[in-house]
Amino acid sequence: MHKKVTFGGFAFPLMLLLPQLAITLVFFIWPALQALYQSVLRQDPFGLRTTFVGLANFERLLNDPLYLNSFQVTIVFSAAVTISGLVIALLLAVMADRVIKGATGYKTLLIVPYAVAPAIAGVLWWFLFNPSIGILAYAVRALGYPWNHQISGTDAMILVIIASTWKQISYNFLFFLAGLQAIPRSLIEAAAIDGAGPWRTYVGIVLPMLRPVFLSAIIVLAHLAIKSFDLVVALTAGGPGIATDLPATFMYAYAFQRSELGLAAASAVMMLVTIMAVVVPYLYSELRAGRR
Amino acid sequence: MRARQTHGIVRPKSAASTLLRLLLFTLLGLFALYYLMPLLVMIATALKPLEEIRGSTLLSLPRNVTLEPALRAWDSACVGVRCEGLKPYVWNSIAMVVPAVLLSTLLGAINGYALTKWRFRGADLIFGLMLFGAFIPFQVVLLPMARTLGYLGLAGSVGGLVLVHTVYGLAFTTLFFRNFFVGVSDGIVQAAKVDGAGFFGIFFRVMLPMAPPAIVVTVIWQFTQIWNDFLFGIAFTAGDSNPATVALNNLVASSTGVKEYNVDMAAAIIAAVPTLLVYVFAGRYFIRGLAAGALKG
Repeated sequence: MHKKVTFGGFAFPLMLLLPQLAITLVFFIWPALQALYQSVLRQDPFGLRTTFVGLANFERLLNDPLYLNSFQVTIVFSAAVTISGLVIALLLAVMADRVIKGATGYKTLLIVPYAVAPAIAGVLWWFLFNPSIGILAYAVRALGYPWNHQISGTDAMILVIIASTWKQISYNFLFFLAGLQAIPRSLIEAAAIDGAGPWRTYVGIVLPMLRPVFLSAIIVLAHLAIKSFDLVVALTAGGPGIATDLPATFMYAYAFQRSELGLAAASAVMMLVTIMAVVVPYLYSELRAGRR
Repeated sequence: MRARQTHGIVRPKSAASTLLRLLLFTLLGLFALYYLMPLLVMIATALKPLEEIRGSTLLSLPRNVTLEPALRAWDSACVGVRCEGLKPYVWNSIAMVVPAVLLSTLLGAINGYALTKWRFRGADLIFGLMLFGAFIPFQVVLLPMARTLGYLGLAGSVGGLVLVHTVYGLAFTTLFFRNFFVGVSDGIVQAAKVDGAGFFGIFFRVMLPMAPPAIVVTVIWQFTQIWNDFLFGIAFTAGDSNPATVALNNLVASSTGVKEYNVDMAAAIIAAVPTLLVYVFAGRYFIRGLAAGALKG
């Protein structure tokens, strides 16, 4: 392996480095530290004085039934969106892969939900399940289930999951399809010659080969679900009551509506920690794999 | 009867395989319905007069097609107390998205080029920090960023949004260009350098002309992200400077009196049209580039 090109002196790389470092420090590291700092302070009700309170905000947060609720909600929501997103995307990709003709058209069609803003998707699904005039609410009621997501927390949760899955599948479908099409045909033909049926071919050969795609799909789905905000605001605004209140909506309400800055910052830090717990091991393994 | 085992090599025309394919197409069709129904209902509803919606014709196509709801959504529906439709907010979004996409794409290209072709000590560290930036939950930066915008005198303005989107888009644009430029041979850069080209000479005359696939993916990605953003819009702008997504939410939530569902849906179409157009016309290149980049890792 030959050496990379480098400029003679040390000055030029440094010049390149500086604006980058400045941006990273000012817009990523500093805000993260600020949030940390904010999370150990308490402001008096008029915002005049702040006092250092140590970990008291975190203690309050973890004893706040509203926060604990949002934590529970996010676990149910993230798990449901990740699992249904994976299963449907994989199923679709396998089917689209077998139908060679028209796969391109189908791909273009499936990207549509991805193009639509979460806030707009929220409005669309809100309308479809609108208890008084929505088509799907009407259909579900015709099947004998009294749908009303404005009263029932369970219904609201189901609605948020359906809409969010709708929004997320496109991306994973594309990755799974690309992964499937990258598997050499000869491998599948060899399996067929050895007498393996389609089921055994998929379970024994194709799915194991898709492992890296699975991993990144799970990470992407899970971290997006944990961060969800727009769609939930547009669909249910966290309601009815607190049934669909996620950490992001909780944090937003505490920061911008209740002016509880210390608690809001503490919940933001908790969110950062959760996301990092999901993402960092993944990035680490990616980077290591990249180096070979 | 051994037909299924030889699938993929020869395709015998048996009844069973035809049935299987039929099932496959039916399932794919059903999922396509799941995908497209919200949009079809949106379009059909936006073209109906209000009385037709109130009637029991839930799934039906509009009988009297009318553009009146669309016109109302565009320039006379009420968003909060201001009754000028979505028009001013769409202009806000355009004023925000154009400079932010151009800036973040250009800077991302320079970064990706510098990180791959001018490797210096600390390049990996910088790249690691940028990856962190791609995953950081924006909730963490909301409060400090609000303060920074205040210092800069950009609070509540479209200019502030341009800055925020440029900075937080950089992580992704750098990633895309880095993954693309890694595949470009170092020899080309060396040759250009021997010929006396400098850092920017190589960038503009050698690297950029090779990069249209990466540019297309980055521009589409950034355009979608920024146009569709809601969180920054709702947190950093107020009233008149709201982008279209926030205004749409206010329009749907705030209409007092008779609920005009057709106007709501027409407004949703207006807010969704720019990104949908981008995918209809350039989606193929996006899909191709995205899949290639992602599989490369």
